[in-house]
Amino acid sequence: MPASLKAIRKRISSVKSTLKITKAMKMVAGARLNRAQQRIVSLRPYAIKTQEILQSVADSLRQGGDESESGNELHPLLAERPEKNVLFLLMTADRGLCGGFNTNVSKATFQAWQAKIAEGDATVRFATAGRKGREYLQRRGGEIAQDFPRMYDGLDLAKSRTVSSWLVSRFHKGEFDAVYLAYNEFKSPITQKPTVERLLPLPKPPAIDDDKARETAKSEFIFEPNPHALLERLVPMYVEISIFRALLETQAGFFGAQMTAMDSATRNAKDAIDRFTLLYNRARQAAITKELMEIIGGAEALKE
Amino acid sequence: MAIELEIVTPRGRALKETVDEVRAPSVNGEFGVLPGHLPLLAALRTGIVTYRSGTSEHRVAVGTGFAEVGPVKDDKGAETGETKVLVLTDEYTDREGIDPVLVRKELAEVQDEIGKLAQQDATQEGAAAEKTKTLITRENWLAAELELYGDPPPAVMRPYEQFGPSPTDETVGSEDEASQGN
Repeated sequence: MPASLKAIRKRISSVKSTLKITKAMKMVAGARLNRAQQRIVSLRPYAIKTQEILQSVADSLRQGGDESESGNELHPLLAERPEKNVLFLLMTADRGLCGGFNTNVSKATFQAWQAKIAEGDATVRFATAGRKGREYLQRRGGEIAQDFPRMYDGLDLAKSRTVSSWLVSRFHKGEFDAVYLAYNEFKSPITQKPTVERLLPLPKPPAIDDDKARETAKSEFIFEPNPHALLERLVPMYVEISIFRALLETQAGFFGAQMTAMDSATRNAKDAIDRFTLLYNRARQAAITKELMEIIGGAEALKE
Repeated sequence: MAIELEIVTPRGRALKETVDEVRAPSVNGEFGVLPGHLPLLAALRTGIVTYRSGTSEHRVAVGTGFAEVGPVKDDKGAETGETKVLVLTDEYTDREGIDPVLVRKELAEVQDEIGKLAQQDATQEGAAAEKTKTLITRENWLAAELELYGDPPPAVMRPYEQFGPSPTDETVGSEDEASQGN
């Protein structure tokens, strides 16, 4: 048994103040998580509808033209090219204290990066939203083409638009042949799934096999001004929404992860306090006993 | 026969209402929808959407986006005979949501900035063009808000709100060129 009483008391009070901090952080993260979650939910109908409309325009164009008409003629953002220059857009949080949240997605990106290199002579570059991911990649010698700092304070559509317009214009110019999005998919407040998926070129809408389905899909839309011009606007909009959604999921996931991490930290701190209190009481009792023994010993000595 | 009007923004569903007539600003000009309208997909510019139920007319402001008109389908995919108008847009507000003083102030700031950008960089390429575009979109939106409020804006909407890719973009196939003139 170590330690003076004073040392133990000091430990207890220091753990107590840590406990206060982790508890507060947990509560703040919880409140923010709620808000972030609501934003994801309210974005969802918009995202789904955009996708539906995109689908029906692409379908009608495909039917209007030759069946063999590939995505390349539909829209430049749908064009498949050999993946020579690849960009990964890594989304992490700016701050830590959230368990493995940043590390997991960074690692997933790192693996995808190595896989791309192993595949062939691809040049891989990175864009990052979030400080942690940028630092991770820089440590491993990744080339950061662009960093988007402080995305998560007051995240809105306009902010995600700066990212998407940067990506789309570079993709148009042929600077990148493919853009991958690495982010934490928000499954629930306690689970986030690191995901790496291709953003550009957009995956082609699934072909309709069934004749009957084809018939219904062929609703006779009037397009104003015309399908091609609509695609010109729809496709970038879809990219924008995808990025915005991924950013929102990252944000919500971060708060979820932070809440979970802080919750277990709070619990650990409580355990530690219990342990130290026990230790403290034992030490105090031992001291009292020792003093009593001394007094009794002294009294005995006087008697004789 | 009626129309189901639904306006959806990235911030959630803004409006869902059963109405008799809808008028919306497409890039080619305003169009009206009555029950039984043919399926239509239109690109919208910033402006005022008007809808009428019975004899009362309501006006709301919307940003750029899309409108889809089509028959309402029930769960089995059969048409119910109703018409549905779905508006997807970046921005939405009704008259109550507008503070004309704030809007005016921001409009002045935005116009200031546009003026500065135009002076700085006459060629308007790259990032500057992108920024100008964003600002003008904002300006149009603010002007639409003022118009809805009934406070006529001194600055008219700029016809800049172009349709299609930015002018610097050359990857567009020639077959689309004719449609870019909006």
